[in-house]
Amino acid sequence: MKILDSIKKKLGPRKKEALEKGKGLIILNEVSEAMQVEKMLKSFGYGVRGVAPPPEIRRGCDLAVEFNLVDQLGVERLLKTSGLNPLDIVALDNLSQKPLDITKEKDFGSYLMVTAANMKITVDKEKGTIVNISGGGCPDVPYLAVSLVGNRITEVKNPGENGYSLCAYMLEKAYQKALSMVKSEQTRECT
Amino acid sequence: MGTLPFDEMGLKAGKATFEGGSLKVEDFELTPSLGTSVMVASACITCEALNLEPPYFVTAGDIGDGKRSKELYSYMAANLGTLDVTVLAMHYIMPDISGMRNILNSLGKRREGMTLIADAGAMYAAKAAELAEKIDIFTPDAGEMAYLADPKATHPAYVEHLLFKLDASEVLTLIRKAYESGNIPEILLVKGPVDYVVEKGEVVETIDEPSISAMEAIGGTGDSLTGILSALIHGGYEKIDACIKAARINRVAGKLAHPDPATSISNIIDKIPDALKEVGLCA
Repeated sequence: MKILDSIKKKLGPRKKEALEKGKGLIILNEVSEAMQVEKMLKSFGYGVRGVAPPPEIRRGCDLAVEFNLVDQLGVERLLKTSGLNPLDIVALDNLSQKPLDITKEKDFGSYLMVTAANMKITVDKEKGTIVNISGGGCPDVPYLAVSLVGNRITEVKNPGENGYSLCAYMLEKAYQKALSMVKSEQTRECT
Repeated sequence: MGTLPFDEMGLKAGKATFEGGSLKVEDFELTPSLGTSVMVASACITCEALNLEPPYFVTAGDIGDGKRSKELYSYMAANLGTLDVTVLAMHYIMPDISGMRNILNSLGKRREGMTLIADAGAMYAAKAAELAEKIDIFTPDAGEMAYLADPKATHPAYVEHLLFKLDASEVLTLIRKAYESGNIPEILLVKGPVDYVVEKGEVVETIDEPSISAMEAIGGTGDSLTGILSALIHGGYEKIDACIKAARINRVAGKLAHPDPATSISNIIDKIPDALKEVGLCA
């Protein structure tokens, strides 16, 4: 643990320097790589988020990773040691745009449906079971649905762990919201 | 055409059949669930009930890394010229701008007399490629309608917050914005609590009966709609008429299944033959 903490400290973000100097963008080859980079950098304490890459290099279902430019050296080192090779790392001006981070909820009585962008997840409030996944258009959505539907939301793997696409990215957001609502429902019942 | 969620499955192309709850293409068999399998199974069921030839299904296994989606785009671009196509329904696939562009460019003169329908990933790709006008019909839901209304978005995940926040009752606003952008097909079949059939920006029909609120939660109800629509156009129904009839048939199938939000889509597509009878399309 000490070694890991030491690495995290060494490669972690510098706190004392001004963050308002600007943002950078890590451009990767695939959405799955971008999700991996985002997760890895967050685990090292970096403030990162998935955003749309510049239009001229978009290929349709693209995701890049926005980070604070002040952290560039540490970020690049981490990418290298993790075997992740970005296509480019660029300075970002006013180009930033991020995936939707809001959800909508609909109450069906015994069931709760959460929508994030084009993805919907419906759970049985009492049993905590995922009863339906709806929406999306990327190929991992039907794949993820098979492993999620019929199982308890507290026991399944996060869709973000097995997904690749932006649809899976949004399904993860719907899943997290539904999970928190089911947990809060269950806590209320216990008290 | 569209992907199926099986990592090990290579490209397959052939007549699709649906029997005893199983969808078959070549040597591959599966029980339909959310996605392309429901779309094709629904087309099979509708074709059989209307005494039409079954659909030809081109598919490949893809669990999200997009590799076989690329193969599927390439196969379609290379082989569409050799197929006798009346309706091409494009469905779940990793959105890829160049892949979609190659398919549409490959059509040439064969485009005349062919109806192109795009739903799911194929719809995202056509819009992101700014080629939506080349498609005849999109079948979005309200969330996807927000994507179509946002000219900058290249995926529904990147839609402006304000557009996503609009209530389902404000779909008309999204439709208007989408047509203002110009990157939109001539016809939309917008599915939701109320289904809207839109032609050149004008709502020509709304379908809201039977009203089954649970349908919104059931994965695959939009896929069955696209499958029914494709079969009806293949059967000779004019595009707008087919949209109106498909929306009604899908709703009636839902009503006959007595669904709740936990119902499986397979219970609904089983009712398509009875729904076709109820709306008077077959005896």
